[in-house]
Amino acid sequence: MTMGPGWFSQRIWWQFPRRHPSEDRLLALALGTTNAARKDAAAASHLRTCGPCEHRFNALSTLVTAMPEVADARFDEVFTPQRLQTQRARIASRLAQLVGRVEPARVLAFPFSRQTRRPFDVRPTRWLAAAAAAGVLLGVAAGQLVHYHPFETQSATAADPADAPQSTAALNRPAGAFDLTGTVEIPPPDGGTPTQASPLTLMEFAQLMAEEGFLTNLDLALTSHRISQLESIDALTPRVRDLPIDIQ
Amino acid sequence: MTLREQPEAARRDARVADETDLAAEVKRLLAAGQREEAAERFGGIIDRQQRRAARIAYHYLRDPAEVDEVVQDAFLKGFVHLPSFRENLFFELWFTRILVNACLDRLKAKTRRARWLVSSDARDRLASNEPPSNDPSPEATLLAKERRAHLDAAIDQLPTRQRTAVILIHFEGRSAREVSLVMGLNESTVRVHLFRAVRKLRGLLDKDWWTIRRRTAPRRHNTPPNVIRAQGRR
Repeated sequence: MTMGPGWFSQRIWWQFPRRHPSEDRLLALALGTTNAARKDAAAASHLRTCGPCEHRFNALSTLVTAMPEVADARFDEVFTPQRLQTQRARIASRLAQLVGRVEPARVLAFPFSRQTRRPFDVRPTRWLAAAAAAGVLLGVAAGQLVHYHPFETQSATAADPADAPQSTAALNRPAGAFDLTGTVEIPPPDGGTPTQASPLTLMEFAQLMAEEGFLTNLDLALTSHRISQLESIDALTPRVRDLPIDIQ
Repeated sequence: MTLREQPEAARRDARVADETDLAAEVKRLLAAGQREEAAERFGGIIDRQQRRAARIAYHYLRDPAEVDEVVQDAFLKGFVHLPSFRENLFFELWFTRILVNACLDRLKAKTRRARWLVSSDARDRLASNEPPSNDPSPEATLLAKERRAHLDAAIDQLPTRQRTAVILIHFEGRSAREVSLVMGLNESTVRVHLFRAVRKLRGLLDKDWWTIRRRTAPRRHNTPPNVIRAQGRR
């Protein structure tokens, strides 16, 4: 007698007939999705003798058989023969259109009117050219208006004169020679108008720039805002002019 | 397959073979340029497959209007692509594949649309469109509706492959081999999908569903199909 691969499991089932099959095994039995015939036969023999397992298997079988019934019942309610007939007619109609037996359905114009309107003409018309020309003219006029009234610039001293009382001397300079915005115009050596530029030598120009740079830095230091954190210390610091001078 | 199911299976195989022959004939007509005659012959295939196709689509979509559209589109797609049909396959399986893909595409589009909806309960809308039931007992009608709603909700939670396995094998009675051809999977893999699907459904359906069903269903002892098969081998 040869012992096959399923002999051991069969022996186990025979020796322990009260070993209950698992829930998955019962479900596989109910569905018929297993290929293990010997195990299935052993489980079936167990079901005949075990009441609780038989009850579990019946419940699973009920579920398996009930689901298609429940699902199909609703289909039969919704898809009546009339509805299926209508669906069949629609398929036939679309099929006839597909093979060219029937002309495709005409698309109605919306809104419906007896007078057929011409489709939109994509060719450029006169009003389009006139609108473009008007736009260009308006743009040019707006540009001219903006450049005719340029924004005025303000000097720093004019904006806040209280902060720089010591800068009056600097402001007494000729306007064309010194500007707080940083632009320095070279004064003419002969005292002429600033517009009349005259040639300078390189040495004169370097000397002039050195003087002007020093004065510019000095004036900027005088007219610049004071450091607010040091104002209290500055107020407590006695000045030379405030001290009584006692010369013996 | 049980012994009792064999004659039915033989009849089904004969019907499927007839449809395949018919499809091959339509394919020849299309190749010959006789489109109108091909469309007429294709009508015979529609008559045979329409109800089954609508039932499969309904299991996926559960919206009658969408089922109508999907079935129409699937038949038209089948007619247009019939020149690529190979006669060594069954037409029914080929067409089922087209239909299932159309249903899955529709479900994806539905999911995308649902993201932008504030509140839309399709089932309430469906319930209002349902025809009046002939059941005399309102309680039984209500219970039946509740059972169906639970089952629908449970099936909706299944992954795509498990859902396809359940619908085609368990609801439509196809064999695992046929469904493996439709899904492009191994036969044993399809069985595993079916088993997992039913196990999950069993967990999702609450105990009330069972109680209601058991109260109404007649008590019977079903012999497992595999046991019958094993006994038949002996």
